[in-house]
Amino acid sequence: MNSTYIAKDNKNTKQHRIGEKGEIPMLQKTINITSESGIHARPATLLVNKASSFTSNIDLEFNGKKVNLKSIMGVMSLGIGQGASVTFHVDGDDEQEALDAIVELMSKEGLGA
Amino acid sequence: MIELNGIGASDGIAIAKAYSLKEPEFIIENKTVSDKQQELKKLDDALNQAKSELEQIRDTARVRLGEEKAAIFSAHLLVLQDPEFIEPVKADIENNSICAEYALKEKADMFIAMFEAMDNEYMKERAADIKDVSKRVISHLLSVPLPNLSLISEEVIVVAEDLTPSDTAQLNGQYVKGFTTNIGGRTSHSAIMARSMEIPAVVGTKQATSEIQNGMILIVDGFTGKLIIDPTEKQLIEYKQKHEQYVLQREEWSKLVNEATVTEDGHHVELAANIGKPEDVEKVLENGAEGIGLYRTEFLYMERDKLPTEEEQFDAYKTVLEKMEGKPVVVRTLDIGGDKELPYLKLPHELNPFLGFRAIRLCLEQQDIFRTQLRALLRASTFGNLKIMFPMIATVDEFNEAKSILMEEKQKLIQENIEVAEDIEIGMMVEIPSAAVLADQFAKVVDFFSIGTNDLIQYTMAADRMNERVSYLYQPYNPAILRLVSMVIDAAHQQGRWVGMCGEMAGDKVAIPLLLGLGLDEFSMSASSILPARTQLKHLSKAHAASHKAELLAMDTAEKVIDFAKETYAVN
Repeated sequence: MNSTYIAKDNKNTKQHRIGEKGEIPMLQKTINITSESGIHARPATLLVNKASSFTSNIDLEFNGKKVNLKSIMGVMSLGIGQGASVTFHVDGDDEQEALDAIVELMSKEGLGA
Repeated sequence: MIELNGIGASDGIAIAKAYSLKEPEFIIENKTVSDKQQELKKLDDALNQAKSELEQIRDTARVRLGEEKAAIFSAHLLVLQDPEFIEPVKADIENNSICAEYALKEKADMFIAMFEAMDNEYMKERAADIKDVSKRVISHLLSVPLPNLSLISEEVIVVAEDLTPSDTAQLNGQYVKGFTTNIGGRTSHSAIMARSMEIPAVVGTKQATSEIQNGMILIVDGFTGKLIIDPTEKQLIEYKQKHEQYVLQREEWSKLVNEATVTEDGHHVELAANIGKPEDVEKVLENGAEGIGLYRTEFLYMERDKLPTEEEQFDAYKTVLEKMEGKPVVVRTLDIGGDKELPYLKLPHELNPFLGFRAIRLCLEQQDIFRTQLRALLRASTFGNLKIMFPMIATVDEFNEAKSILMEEKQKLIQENIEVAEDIEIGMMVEIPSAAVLADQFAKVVDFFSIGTNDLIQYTMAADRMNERVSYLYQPYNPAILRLVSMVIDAAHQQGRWVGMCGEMAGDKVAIPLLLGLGLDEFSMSASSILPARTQLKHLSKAHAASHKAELLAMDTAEKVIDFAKETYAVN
């Protein structure tokens, strides 16, 4: 499988943000997927729509692969099933708001917490 | 003017412009463009057009197929704005002066290959979604419109190779006056749907899609199976008259909507309708059915990516029972397998699916699926007159096991203080020859039989009803079939049970007098056949039909049976 296209190379992913205040780690949160059918079409659609409403860069990491949460094909390509542990990485002006909204959506839709 | 002969699948005459669902072929070349800005704008415009079409398709799907199915199109819409897909396409145009359609096709193909390579069936299917979306964008880039049933906004006759269940669910009766397909027969899905929607249809024309261009005027004659392309002025006048006559005849029939079905000599038989979805009940009531003789529950399970919940099923059953206001509703438990697959069950592929792991065989093994359905049915039972039947029963043990599971679920509900109707009749389909031959034994344990002729014929004649090369063996009037039907009816009556028939044969005007003579109690058919059948039965005498029983069962060929029926009962 040619996954190099969507999955970002971990080495190049910005882990820290360098600003005037020095290094501030980006926001991240790990969630366990409890939904029986994992993240299939409908939840993926909800997540991508939600992510797209923020300006921050939002990545979803699963199984060592990181994809853009604003990319439906990226999210679907991870094939996230029940029991998976996924991590959201959020970086940008509205990062806190974005992360809160995503976590809320995940729990409201019974996807995971 | 060209005439094609197919099979009349649904009565009526339709005259309208053709709307071909045949997809155009796209020729995509790797061209360089001189004006990159213009090419980028072309891409944006195509994306926007595709977006508004998909929104329209999604909205139609939401109304006609439900939220679950519509969600797929929401995902399609996101593909159009997927940054990992669209940005590289734009970069390709900008950096390499590649034409938009080629750049898009290349990126789409890469994603398609990636999804197809995944070892998860569900993910593999997503490749089809990407194909679908990129095809729509490319159609706008090349200005070759892509047909779609949801986009029809004027009166048309739909022309297609075949129509899938999701196609037919999108047909809007307001605009679609009729349809014609290359393949299919009277019992194929598209034909059954045409009758339930009361849209005239001709199926199995073999070459409709190759002969017909969009916008040509067509006449669909659902009575004779004739399809006329680009008719003459004379034909147009002739068929308009034929259409008007049919409209008048239907008005005549409609006077019988609220009447019981009584033969000339005072015998009552029950005329019931076959349905697949709660929405079908409307037509059932409009056509004055005395009940529902077959509710095919598998539609609840199809066109989705997981099993329906108990709650979803309960809602559907309750709706049907309530709308029928106490009239009998015979629900057939899940009949999946054979030609009806559920990809999400991940059943292994079988060489001989019609003889394989299907219907009750699957339900007895995967009992969680079966029990969920039974619970939903039992909970709904207090909202009307519910009867339950099991499909594909081959042995008495199978019936007894299915019934005991039903009883267990009933007990559980009672213990949970959930109300369940006391008097639910439990019956079975007779569609396997072993069940027909052993009907006297089955009659001791069932409350009723419903003969499923479509399968009974194919199993008795050992002829796949989907295989056109052996279609000559699909003989409803073969005396072997009539003898089996007669055996089942006699065995049931001996034990005081009633017998219905829910195959296509029950609504056939040639078969009706024969079945009346054999003693059939309930005829279940497409809703649109009910009023003509009631009219016909009013003029038949049961005693007279019964007097020919021995003679009929002693015949040797289907032709003789048909000739006899046509001559004796003046039908054609």
